[in-house]
Amino acid sequence: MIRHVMRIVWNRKRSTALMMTELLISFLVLCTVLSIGAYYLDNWRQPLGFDYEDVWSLSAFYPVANRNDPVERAALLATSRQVMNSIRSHSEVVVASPTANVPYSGGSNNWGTFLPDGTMARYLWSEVRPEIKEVYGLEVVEGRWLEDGDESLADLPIVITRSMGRMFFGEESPLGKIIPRLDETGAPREAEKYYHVQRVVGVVEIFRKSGELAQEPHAAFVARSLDDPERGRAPGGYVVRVEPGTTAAFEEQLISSLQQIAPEWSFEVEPVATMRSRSLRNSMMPLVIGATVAAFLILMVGMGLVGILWQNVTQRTQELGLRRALGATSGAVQGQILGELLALTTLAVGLGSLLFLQVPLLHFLDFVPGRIFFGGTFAALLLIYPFVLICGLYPSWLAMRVQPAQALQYE
Amino acid sequence: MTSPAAQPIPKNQPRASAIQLDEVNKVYRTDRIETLALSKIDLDVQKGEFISIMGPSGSGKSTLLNLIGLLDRPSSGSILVNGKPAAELSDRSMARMRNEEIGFIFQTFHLIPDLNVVDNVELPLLYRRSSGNERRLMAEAALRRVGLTARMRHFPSQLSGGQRQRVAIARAIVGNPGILLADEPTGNLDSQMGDEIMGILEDLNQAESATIIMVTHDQKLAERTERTVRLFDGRQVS
Ligand SMILES: Nc1ncnc2c1ncn2[C@@H]1O[C@H](COP(=O)(O)OP(=O)(O)OP(=O)(O)O)[C@@H](O)[C@H]1O
Ligand SMILES: [Mg+2]
Repeated sequence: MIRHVMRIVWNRKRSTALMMTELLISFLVLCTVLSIGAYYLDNWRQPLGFDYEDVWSLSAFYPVANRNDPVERAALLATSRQVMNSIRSHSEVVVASPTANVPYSGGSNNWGTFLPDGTMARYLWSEVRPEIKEVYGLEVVEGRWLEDGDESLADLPIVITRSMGRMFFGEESPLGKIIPRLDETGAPREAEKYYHVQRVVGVVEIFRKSGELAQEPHAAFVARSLDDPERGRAPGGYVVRVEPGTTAAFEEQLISSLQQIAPEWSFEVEPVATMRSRSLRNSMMPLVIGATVAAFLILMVGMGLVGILWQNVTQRTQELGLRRALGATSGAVQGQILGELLALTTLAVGLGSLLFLQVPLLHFLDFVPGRIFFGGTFAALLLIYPFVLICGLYPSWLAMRVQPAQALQYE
Repeated sequence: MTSPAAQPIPKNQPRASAIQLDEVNKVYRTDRIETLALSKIDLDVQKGEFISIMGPSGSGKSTLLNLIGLLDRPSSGSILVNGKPAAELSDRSMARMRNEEIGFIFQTFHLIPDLNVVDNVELPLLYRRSSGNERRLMAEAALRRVGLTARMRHFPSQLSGGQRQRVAIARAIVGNPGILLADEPTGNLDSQMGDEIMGILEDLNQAESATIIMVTHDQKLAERTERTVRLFDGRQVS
């Protein structure tokens, strides 16, 4: 019977081509939307690595005349030290640290270096004070955290995430190892004036600056100097842990107190939780729009499908009556229509899966794990079959009701 | 003088009935009009008999054949097919009887255009337990009977009218049914083709002792059958 159904579908390929194309396109759209959904879901389920409740972001904007003027750099750094002290002096503030990588903020500060195979390895580069561990609630899983004084050592102590350790050192413990500094041919670079060797002293589990929906980046923390203009610059951003229950009124208070120290500078404060909501909303927007468009498209295809099937049944009344006359039960006739529909769907989704899975197989979007595409395809399969069956319900019911004597009466 | 024991056994033992109709009426009701398509039909067809049905257009011949073939139910009266009362059959067992005990041949062939000859012939076997191999062998055997083995991969549109009707006959006999119902099987064919089809039916009747009921407008063909039932306006006139 399956062979018979396949043969009918194959022999009718000309008239079923349209239906197959519609199904194929719907399936590809479903695969895409569901794969993006699966990608987000997969990211969502990974740990974040930091707390964002009661953490505020403080941005500092200062005028710079000449970036490389040592005198100006020293002056800016001096003001930064005052700013830092002022932040700490408020009773609402638990602990604070400068960082260029405020969670959920638009920009990020990265370091890039080459791996032995010539590919570029990027990692989030956060120059911070050791107190940031308390701001974020970071957990050291191996070695030690940054300490005061680290910033002035010749070999710069660096704390990295587990994944970054794996990238550079495989399964070996990264503790005590130096982050390789290679050129694009994989050869060690020559000594550079301002470069400090990065020696791993500790490992944290994970730190996903861009939040729940983004993929995990490799990340590193180093101590930042607020004293030595040779080794540190005035930070443009800080993260501040405030006492639970601190209200928005303190934002104004904090800004005006800083404004007094640095009248030429300007400051902005925003709770990281607020930034998080906005960032999640922005990330979800394309998916929501995509899903809505896909839903409408599929609804249209569904209505079209019902129409085509309906017409199909009407045109084939005689054939269906004949099948009844030759011994098919009404159930078998309904099965014939649904069977052909399923066969057609299987052809379309088979082709669709083959096409769609080329994306991971040909390494088009390599940062997305292959299982995401397979998961998205699988979910699309789970959706499309019931959908198609529902579309076929009414037409196949019509087919079931064909009366053989009447159907065979006319030519 | 003669004792009951000495009586000779009748030579022509009555054969068992294949079809028995008793007071069968068929009324078609549409919105306003009521058509009495068949009225008080009594008919008894023996197994192995070859009978013809004649009558003017609209006299109820096709209606009668549909009732015998279990494609429709009578408005009143009883129908027995191979001894089984049609009224008591479920839809499922009616489908099964159509499949196993009855073969249909239509005036307009009713072949499926998207299936080739052999697939068309196999069609009834799809609705019973059979393997693909079995089906192929049975279809080939049926096509051999109607002399069409050379055209098995052709599609209906590539065949002449006579060839199409032979495919339809092969499809009707592929499952070895005891009863063949033919509704004007030669109506769309020229007389030579008609003759040929009639020959095949006669051969099936004699060699396989199939019961055949054939509707025809052709007096000459009717004369070649064992007897003729004549309908007029839904009534049996002979
Ligand atoms: N489904 C139906 N609904 C209503 N009336 C019908 C239906 N089928 C047949 N009839 C009517 O029943 C009568 C008998 O029709 P039937 O088709 O049996 O005639 P017939 O003898 O086969 O005619 P022909 O030689 O033209 O094929 C006709 O008056 C016809 O109009
Ligand atoms: Mg008729």
